[in-house]
Amino acid sequence: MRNHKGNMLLVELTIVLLFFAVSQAIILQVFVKAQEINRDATLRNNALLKIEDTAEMLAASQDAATTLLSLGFVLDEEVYTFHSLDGFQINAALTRLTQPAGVLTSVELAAYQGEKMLFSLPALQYRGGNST
Amino acid sequence: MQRRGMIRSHSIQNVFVFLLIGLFALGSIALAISGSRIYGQVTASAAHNNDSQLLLSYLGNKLRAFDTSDHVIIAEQNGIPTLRLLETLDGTRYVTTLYAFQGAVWERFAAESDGFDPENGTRLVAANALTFSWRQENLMEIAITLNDGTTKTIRAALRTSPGKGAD
Repeated sequence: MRNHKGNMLLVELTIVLLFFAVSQAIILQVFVKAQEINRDATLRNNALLKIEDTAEMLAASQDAATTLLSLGFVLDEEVYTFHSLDGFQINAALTRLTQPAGVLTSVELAAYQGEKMLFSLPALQYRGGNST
Repeated sequence: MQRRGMIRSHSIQNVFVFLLIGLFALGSIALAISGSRIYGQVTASAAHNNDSQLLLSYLGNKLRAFDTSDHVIIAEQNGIPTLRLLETLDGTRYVTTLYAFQGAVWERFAAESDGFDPENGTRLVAANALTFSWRQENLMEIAITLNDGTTKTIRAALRTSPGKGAD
């Protein structure tokens, strides 16, 4: 009888501890998810800063291509690409529209995290005359 | 003999129960420690992101608002690097000064004729240093060192020429 009671206590304890163990596992998953979200937020923040900075540099520059190269972009199949150590990538697609009045350069800046596009920002630059 | 066996089995059960409770206690402690660490990291990082984004957006928008000829000046006052944004209201020249002082970025709005007193301003965001420089004639570089030691730099292209006193 006494032995039976002891076994019951053991089973009860095991069930309670199992329940807590499952709860711990769920909580741990939530923490890991929170850390991932935080890492993503930091990455987006840094990508946004870089993209805004690039757009401002382009607005003040005389030649968009030279400016992109000076900012660490690399020309790869007609698209300028910047790989950050933080884990994001910025692509800059450059198009030039030459008119007798001047040259309109439009740059489509897009930030990527792996294959996923985070956001894009268009930058326009107009130079009067026929300067490039 | 039988009694001896029962006592032995009972003590094994007790040890098993204590082992389970011990395991649970260890798991709980590990979870609490890792949880507090992750919570600390997340809040610190969120605060860092918010501070840097808020400050850079605020400075960028301020610059845009005052982006008229000779209204944006970089100057050093009382040994503090400052950004002076000038405007005229009802015939009086006013200056909005942005600077880092005592571990924070401050903004001070006063008449241009008033002397510069860094303590007589509004505290905006915690930051260790704030420096301004002209990278090109109309391209300003703003570097902010936050309290955790990280430095963020943004550049702002002005549509007009910088004011007198610019670096």
